[in-house]
Amino acid sequence: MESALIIEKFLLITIVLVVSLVVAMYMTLVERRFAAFFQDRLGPNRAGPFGILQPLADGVKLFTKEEILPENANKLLFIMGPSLAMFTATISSAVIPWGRDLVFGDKVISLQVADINVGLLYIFGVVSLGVYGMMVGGWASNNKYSLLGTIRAASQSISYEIAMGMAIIALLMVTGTLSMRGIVDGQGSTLYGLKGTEGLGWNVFYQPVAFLIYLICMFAECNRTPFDLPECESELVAGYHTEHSSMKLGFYLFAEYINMFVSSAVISALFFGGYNFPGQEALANAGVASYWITLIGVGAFFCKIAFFLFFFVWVRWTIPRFRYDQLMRLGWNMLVPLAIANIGITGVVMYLTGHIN
Amino acid sequence: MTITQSLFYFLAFVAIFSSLLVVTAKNPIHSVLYLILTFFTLTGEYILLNAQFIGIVNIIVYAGAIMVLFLFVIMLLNLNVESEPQKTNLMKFIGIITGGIGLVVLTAALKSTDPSNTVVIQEVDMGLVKNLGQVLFKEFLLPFEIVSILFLSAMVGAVLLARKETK
Amino acid sequence: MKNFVEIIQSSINDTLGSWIYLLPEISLAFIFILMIIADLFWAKRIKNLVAIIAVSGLFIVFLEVIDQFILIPPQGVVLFSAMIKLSTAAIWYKVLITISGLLVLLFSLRDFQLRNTEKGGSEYYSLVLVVTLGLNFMVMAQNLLMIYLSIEFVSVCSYILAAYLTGNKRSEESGMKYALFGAVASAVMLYGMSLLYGFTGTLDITNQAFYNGLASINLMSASVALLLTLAGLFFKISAFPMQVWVPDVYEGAPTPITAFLSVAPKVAGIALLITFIRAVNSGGSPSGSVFLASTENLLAALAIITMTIGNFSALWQTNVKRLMAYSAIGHSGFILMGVAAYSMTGQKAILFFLFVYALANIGAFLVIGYFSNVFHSEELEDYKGMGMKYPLVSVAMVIFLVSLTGLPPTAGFVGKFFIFSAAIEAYMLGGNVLLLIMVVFGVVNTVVSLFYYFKIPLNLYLRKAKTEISLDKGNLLFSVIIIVLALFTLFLGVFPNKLIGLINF
Repeated sequence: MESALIIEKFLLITIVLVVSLVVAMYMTLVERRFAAFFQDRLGPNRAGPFGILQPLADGVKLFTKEEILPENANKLLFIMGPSLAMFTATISSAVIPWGRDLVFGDKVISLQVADINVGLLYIFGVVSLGVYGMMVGGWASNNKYSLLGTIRAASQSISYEIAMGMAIIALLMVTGTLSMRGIVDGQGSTLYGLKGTEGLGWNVFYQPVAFLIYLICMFAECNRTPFDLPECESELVAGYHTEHSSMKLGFYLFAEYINMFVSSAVISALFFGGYNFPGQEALANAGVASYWITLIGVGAFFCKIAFFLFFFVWVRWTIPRFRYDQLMRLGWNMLVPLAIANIGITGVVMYLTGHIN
Repeated sequence: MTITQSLFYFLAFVAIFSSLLVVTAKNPIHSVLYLILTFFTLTGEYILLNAQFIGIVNIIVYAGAIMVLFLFVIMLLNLNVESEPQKTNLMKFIGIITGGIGLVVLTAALKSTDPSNTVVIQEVDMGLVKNLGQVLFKEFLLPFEIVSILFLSAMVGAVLLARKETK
Repeated sequence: MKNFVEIIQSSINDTLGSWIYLLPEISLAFIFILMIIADLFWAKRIKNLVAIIAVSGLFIVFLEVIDQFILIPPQGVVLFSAMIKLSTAAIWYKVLITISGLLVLLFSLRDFQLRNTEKGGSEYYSLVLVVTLGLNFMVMAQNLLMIYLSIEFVSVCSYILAAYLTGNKRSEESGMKYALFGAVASAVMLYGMSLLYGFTGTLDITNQAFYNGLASINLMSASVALLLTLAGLFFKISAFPMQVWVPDVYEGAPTPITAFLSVAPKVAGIALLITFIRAVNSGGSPSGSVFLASTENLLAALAIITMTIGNFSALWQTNVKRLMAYSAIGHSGFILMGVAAYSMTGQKAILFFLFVYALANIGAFLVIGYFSNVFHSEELEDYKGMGMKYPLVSVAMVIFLVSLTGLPPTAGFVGKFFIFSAAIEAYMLGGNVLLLIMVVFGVVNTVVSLFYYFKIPLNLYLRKAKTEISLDKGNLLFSVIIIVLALFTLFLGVFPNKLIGLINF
């Protein structure tokens, strides 16, 4: 039993890892194709049909490029930076519930690597560690642009983590649990108790403000435009990874895409019902086998993730970058007070509607 | 030795070793990184005690926020070996003597205590969020509220000292 | 969910039942927040608004504290699951703290350094109130967590206040040194507390389990844990091993803050020390306690060293604030004598002594502030010949110094007399020779202190001013407070029973 469980979990971890790597890989292509679309160009379309082999070509290129270690860099930390970035990006997927339990007869397979009762905090913790990859690597480069990028990354991540945490508190007041599985399962009920809305009780309808704040902070935590000041190329060359070449650079970029994927998964799970989809009750009542519902749920979850990934790309090629003081003002003067007000209002509304007495 | 025990010893060893490195590292940045490692091992220990909430909060607050600010400040200060004031030999000597005496006293004092029985957690759920919340808002309500005023006043002070006056 | 609602309900009921006993503290917290808000919105329109709120607010708090004498039963009330205990003694200490807070606020209103600082005064007043809040909790605390928190509370705000004159090198140095020493002291204390918790398994020091736990392990381990914990308290009352920060901090801090730091945290620290010592000795009968002899010896030895260091170092000082700093260390030694005597009379003696000390010390600092307003100097050299120019204030200064020395007919004499007699009484009862030696040292130190205190009147009256310097006008508010304080000092010297009769716990 013990070893079976370990093998099962090991397989699941491998699958999740491979999926996130593949998604990240193809996100580079998707990003470029969409960028081209937004700018009325064609984009990369030469490697394979529709440019489908482009990510492979990029990978080969990155792997075979020259390794450059700057003379006065701190060698160990210089290499540790991208590794840390990659590490923190990949471990946060551990607590995301990808679907309901798969039931084949009496065999139950959980589609979540670890259901810990502080899952949400775990994600939050890992996200807050994500900045170390940038900080360590940027500082070790011994380059002024890198250092500036590093410092921006640190202050940005700290500032937006506060608003993010506050937004999550309001969400937690509604869900009443910190477990990711618990939060997702809680969204399987009806929306405002209306008939026929089973599977639509998503948190985004209960906590729209928290969702908006979380969305903005998610962009900031992933260092995506309009919050990509740490690597702002018009001011800092390439920010924290100015000195990094070949696959070390590749790791940084890859980590960013994995972060996008995981963040999309988290926001879908927290606010958009995760693997819940409208009509799941009807399917279950119609006697469809439970593993089919689970698989459709997984599909629905990935559709939501895909939407948010697209949203990331969409925003990047639509909205210009903030100036640094604007970024700080948005974080501290608007999002934090808004999030605090949201907590207060949530409490009052919950009290008035009798959820707490 | 069970897995838990060997994990404990491993984490404890790493914790002590890395905290020694925090003190001895020449480069302040390395010190901070070792300190972060220490926090991680402590989180591991918390999780072994089934105190998951404290463990994760330890990571979020200390490793994720406070140490980032530490690193931030040290990077800005650009401390290095050359700019560090060197202590005179006399000072070092005095330091070694006092520290040594302190160590001897502490070892002597704590060595003579009887080794405790193996600690068994009475309530396994003690460290979970719900129980922690109950304790925090019942037994420790007053300290909890006082801390909030303390932080507010500390924040007032920090802003006050850092603020640049425009005349 | 239902379960939690019940818990929340019961905890709310518990809090509602207890809040009436915390009225002064809650008021302080509200006034603090009110001051921040008032500073933000209306400070531009109404001059000195924040200071007015602070003074009137603290006065209301003072009345509320006085009111608590009637409110509580004689044996005191234990509040918030044994976090704090409000007893008559604690209220007395709170009265003392609030009075010194009020005096310091009035002092600050007219201090030229504070008036001219570029930061403005509003945060200053709010921080003084917060320190008072922390001190109030310090005298009531009886749980290790509360002890640590309240000490940190006081410390953090004191660091900021000491460094308030940003741009002034000495003030910044003072704040920085204070913060560094304070951080080390609190770290040591925290380590000691963690050992205590490990040994006893309880945070509540009045719990019988606390004493039993300490008594059951060997004496050496228990002593180390207790010593480490006491280190934090000694830092607050500037007793021997933790006194090094005092001169630099007192010299650099703004004068009103120096006056405050030399009195209020010491009062609260002593109160906490007494609580702690009593808790450690509380198992069974006092004479049967494991730790009685060792705590007595420890405190007596520390008292001797502290007062000797303080008084002898003061002999060489040329800066008046520095001199007063060393004198404050010396006085900590005298107060520790009372704690070492560990008896009911000892505690009353301490309270009376603290009252007298607070009056005289704040008074002396007020005079220093007055002079520094007038000729912008705190050097002893510049005091020459000022006695004739400012007769009233100078006479008051002499009264304060005589009281600090402990000579009749001032209150200081009575205070010291009580302390000495408490120590002698303890010697008679217990027969510990160290207590007798301590008293001898006390007398010798009193004589030594005469030498350096005398330097101030010497310069004021008997030396001629070297050159004529331009003098600003003295301040009326200062003169009034100084004279009132001086009269009180004389009054308590002649009729000590007026206060002693009131002190009853």
